[in-house]
Amino acid sequence: MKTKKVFVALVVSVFVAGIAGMCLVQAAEPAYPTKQVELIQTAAPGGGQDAVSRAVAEYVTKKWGQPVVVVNKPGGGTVVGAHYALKEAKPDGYTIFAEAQIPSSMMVAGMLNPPIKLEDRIFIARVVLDPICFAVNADAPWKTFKELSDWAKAHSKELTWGSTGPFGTSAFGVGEWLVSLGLNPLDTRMVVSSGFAETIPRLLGGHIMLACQTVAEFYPLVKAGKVRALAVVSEKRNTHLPEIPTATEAGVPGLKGVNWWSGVSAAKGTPQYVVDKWAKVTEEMVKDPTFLEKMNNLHVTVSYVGLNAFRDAVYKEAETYTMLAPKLGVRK
Amino acid sequence: MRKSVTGDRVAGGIFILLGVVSFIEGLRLRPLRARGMPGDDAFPTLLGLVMVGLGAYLAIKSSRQPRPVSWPDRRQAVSMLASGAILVGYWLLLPLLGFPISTFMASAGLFYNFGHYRWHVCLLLSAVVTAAFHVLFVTWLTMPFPEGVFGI
Amino acid sequence: MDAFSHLITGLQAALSISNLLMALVGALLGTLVGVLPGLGPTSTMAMLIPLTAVLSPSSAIIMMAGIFYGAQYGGSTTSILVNIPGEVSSVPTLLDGYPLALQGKAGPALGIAAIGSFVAGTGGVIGLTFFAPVLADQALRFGPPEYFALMVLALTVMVSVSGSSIIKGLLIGAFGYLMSLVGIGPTSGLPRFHYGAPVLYGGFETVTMAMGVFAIAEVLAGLEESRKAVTHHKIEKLFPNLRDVRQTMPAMLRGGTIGFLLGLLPGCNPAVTAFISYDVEKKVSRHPERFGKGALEGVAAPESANNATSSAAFVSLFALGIPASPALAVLMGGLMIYGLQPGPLLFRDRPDFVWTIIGSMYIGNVMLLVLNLPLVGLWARLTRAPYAIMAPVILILCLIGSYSLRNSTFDMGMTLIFGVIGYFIRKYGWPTAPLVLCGILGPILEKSLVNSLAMSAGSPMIFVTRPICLALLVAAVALLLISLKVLRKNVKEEY
Repeated sequence: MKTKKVFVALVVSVFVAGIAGMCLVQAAEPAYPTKQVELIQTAAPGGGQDAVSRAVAEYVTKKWGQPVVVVNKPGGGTVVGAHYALKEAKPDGYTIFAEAQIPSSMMVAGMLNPPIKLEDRIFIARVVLDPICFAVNADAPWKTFKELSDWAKAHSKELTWGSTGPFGTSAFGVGEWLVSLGLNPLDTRMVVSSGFAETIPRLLGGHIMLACQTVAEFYPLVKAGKVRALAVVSEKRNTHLPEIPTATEAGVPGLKGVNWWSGVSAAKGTPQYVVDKWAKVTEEMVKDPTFLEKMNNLHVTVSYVGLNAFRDAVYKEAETYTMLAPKLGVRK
Repeated sequence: MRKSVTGDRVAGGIFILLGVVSFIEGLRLRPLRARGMPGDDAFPTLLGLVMVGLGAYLAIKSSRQPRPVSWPDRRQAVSMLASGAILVGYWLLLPLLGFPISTFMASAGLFYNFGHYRWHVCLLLSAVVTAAFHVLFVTWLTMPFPEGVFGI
Repeated sequence: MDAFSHLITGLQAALSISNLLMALVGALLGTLVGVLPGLGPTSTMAMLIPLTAVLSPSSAIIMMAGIFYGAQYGGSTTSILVNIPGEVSSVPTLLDGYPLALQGKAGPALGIAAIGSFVAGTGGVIGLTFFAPVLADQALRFGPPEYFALMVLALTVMVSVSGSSIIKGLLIGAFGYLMSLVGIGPTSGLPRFHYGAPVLYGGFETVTMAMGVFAIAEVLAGLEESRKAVTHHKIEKLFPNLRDVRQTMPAMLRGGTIGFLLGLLPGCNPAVTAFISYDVEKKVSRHPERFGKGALEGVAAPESANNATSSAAFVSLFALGIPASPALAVLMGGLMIYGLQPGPLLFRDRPDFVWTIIGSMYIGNVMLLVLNLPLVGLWARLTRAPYAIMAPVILILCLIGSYSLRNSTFDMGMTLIFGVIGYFIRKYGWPTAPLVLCGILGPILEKSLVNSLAMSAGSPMIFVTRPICLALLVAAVALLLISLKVLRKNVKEEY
């Protein structure tokens, strides 16, 4: 009968549509990952960036059931690792890049012809950040940030400060501060080192007057009273070192500050479903108590920002640093 | 009298060349000086001058009696070149074939080259060595080697 | 004494079964890592970081520390037996160690190396136990100018390791330094000698150069000479006798002292102190011409120095939370994962933990001595093993080792290239040690100079107005003059 034929036709079409739909869904999202994923880290093993990446890898491995392995490729001011992850490896989602401020915003700001540009990657998510902190030796004559700033204004040519690289985190941090005081950073004496392990002994030994590192790096020495932290450059006081005033509270308003941060990105051309999957898992990760505890131990601040918001934040940062760079004598 | 091209002369020439290369790089870095003080260009320039100077001294003042240098005979030379080729092959094929396969092939080739053992002895030794290295580096030390096309 | 009672508590805790086991594992792994050319404690410790998830803090750190100082025991083995340094800090050891092996005296050489390592390593831990805070504070007085002066002093060592020709030594050293310049420059943050290739931004690792020039070139030479085994001399002695120990004890103490004191300075690694102590030993010796031909003191001094340095490195780590070298940065990373921050806080808040580690360092050194001495006979017999089997293994190990430094196949290729270069260097009788020496010292020298001038706004007066710096520079000049005098006395060639 006619109704029966219509009914059968309807059932068959729904059935066919259902199968077609399932096939489409499966074609749009192949299984990922099916084997080991490499998370390329540009920092040497043992530092803060490395520790964050290892925590990320551990969480994602547990969540997805496939190993995510941190592969350290240090050297060349992060160029070696960034080039490998973003330009040499296949963009199939099995090589993910541990993103940070140095291979992204700071590199394009400090170099006129950076080998890796911001456009070369797909920003997935930022998971932690850590603001910078200005500190002097515990025996130094300056007790507040304002005192130091006033002294610097009068004696800029004598100010010695430690910097981890000519266009690194400390350089931009101190550079911004000096410029805000109306000083020329090139008048001051910047003493370059390769990391806080070189800068801290110089500060403690009185060879430099000022060091600008992240809260996590200063934490043990501040707590032990060997180093006097004058200010942390962020909007609110830091949860790990709440006794340190913000720059504004300490009498030097208007500093935007520099953030050390760590996140994840992928090479251009990586399939969208890979990117989305990583964005989702990291979003869950920053709520996971084990991960939060580990980040707490590292004294960094968990702060998730994903996909487009992440990309915009990095581009904005790059703009700020690019404007600051010529005053530091870089960008040639 | 025939002017002998001694090893020292050649070496002197090489170092003069390297010195020039270094000096040129120093010149390239000069405008990148930050803060007008000697920067990254200082040591390349200095090193360049030192190498050119010492290289020239060596080339000119080279010893009249050059030290006798013996070169390998044909059989040894072939053996050495073969080793080199195997090692270069190992370097290039490691990312392609993965750690176990390339190590196995390279060590088998080297055992044959050094010891001229029969093929099955080479393969056996190679299997032992590859297995040992795999346990040591991959299983115990979890070293991340590139996965070749075979996924191992 | 407060420290003493803490130490006793620490030792007791370190003697627990699990901690003893961890110390043993660390010591074994460390020795293995030291023996294997190219593979170093840094990459090994980094690869074992995931184990921190399953081990307790003291277990994990005891093991990692064991790997770190154990590596200094193992490095000498291959230096002596096959003229291939297991670690860069074992390069000076081969200058006299290998000639000894060729004379059939590998056993005594290995034994003295082990004993010296033990004496100096333990001495260093004693220094760490009782004087850590004081020493750390004194070490802080070394700023960039002092480092510069120290590097200048270290460079005078070049004269000692240049063999018979200073000019050739200087040129090889210059070449080594040139190689170390490739990479990012210290003041501009921009690459040098990269010619547009991003892979060259990272430069060359010293270990890669050392592996190529020493290991690959050595094996090629062995092939050329159709060697059947390392030595055809009959093995005369398997172990050092008491006379050997008595003869080298002063060298051990001197090397240990130099190694410990210099090792307190962050950035002064075991390789630097090993070279310096070799040089000092040669200068104070009544028969310096014996060096380079098989002087036991030439083995005792550097091996003691590099072990003392590895103990001293813990001083700045525990007292101030400053990692003196990349390997200790990894160890520190391991501590941070447990939420333990090394530094004065750790001594105050968790003395039990710190003293357990220190206690286990004494035990670890004893274990390493016990492990290494009996094995000396076995290792010595390896010098008679078929070259055809050892050589391929060594070659493959070298390439794997250089890969492991930075997970980079580029480094493997560079090892091969340096192998070829090393082959030609040795063919013509040029010295090879300056290559490594300048490769290590060069970057530190440059950075210190640049930073000193930054501190003084360009004025070179900074080097003469600071007492320690001035003293070191004067010492450097003095040592240079002594070296030249000694050289002139012994060498007939014109240059």
